[in-house]
Amino acid sequence: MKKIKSKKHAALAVLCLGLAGLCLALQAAGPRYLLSALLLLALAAVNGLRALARPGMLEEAARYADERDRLLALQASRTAQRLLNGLLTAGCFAALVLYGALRRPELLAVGLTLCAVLVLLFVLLLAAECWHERRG
Amino acid sequence: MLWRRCGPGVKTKVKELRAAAGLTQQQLADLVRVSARTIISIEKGQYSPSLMLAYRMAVVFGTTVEDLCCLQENKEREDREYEEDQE
Repeated sequence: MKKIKSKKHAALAVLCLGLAGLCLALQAAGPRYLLSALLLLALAAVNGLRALARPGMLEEAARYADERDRLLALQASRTAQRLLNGLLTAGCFAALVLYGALRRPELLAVGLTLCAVLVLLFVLLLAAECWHERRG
Repeated sequence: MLWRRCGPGVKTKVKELRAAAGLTQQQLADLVRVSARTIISIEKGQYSPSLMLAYRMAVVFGTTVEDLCCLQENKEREDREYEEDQE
């Protein structure tokens, strides 16, 4: 059994296979599903071959990164996550305040969507921290 | 307080020992298997080396980790900062 050299392409191949299966199951609904299934199977094959052929970009970067590069990547991720949180929170509050003032339903939809994304990010962060806490 | 502790690196003698050994930053980086940028950051006090990296550098210079990383001096500085934060 060949070793998977690129996890990203392997995951894409599995995803394409799953979607192809779904399209094949729905092919009775129309010919476009059969076409989509064929395209997805081709994509899955290409990604699968790439996953076995050569390492992906992330694997190459990790191979040549030293300890300082890894620390900088961690710090950059944290900064980006904090900025994203701030922007989402500001956007959510702005949308809800504007809804209060203008009473437009689109603003409420935007505010609630941003709120849901914030909650999801928070849950993901908690889960990731718990996982690392157990491993560390 | 948290950011002050996590921010700058520890003071080291890497620059002095490297100059005394007649090595360039790239040569030292190759010997201890890191990039030259990491050596530059350590010499500027912007980055603290890991234990293994500090040990590799100490072996190259023929010294100890305690001497290379000025551990006593850095410990005293941290203790002073900690006491100032508690006041």
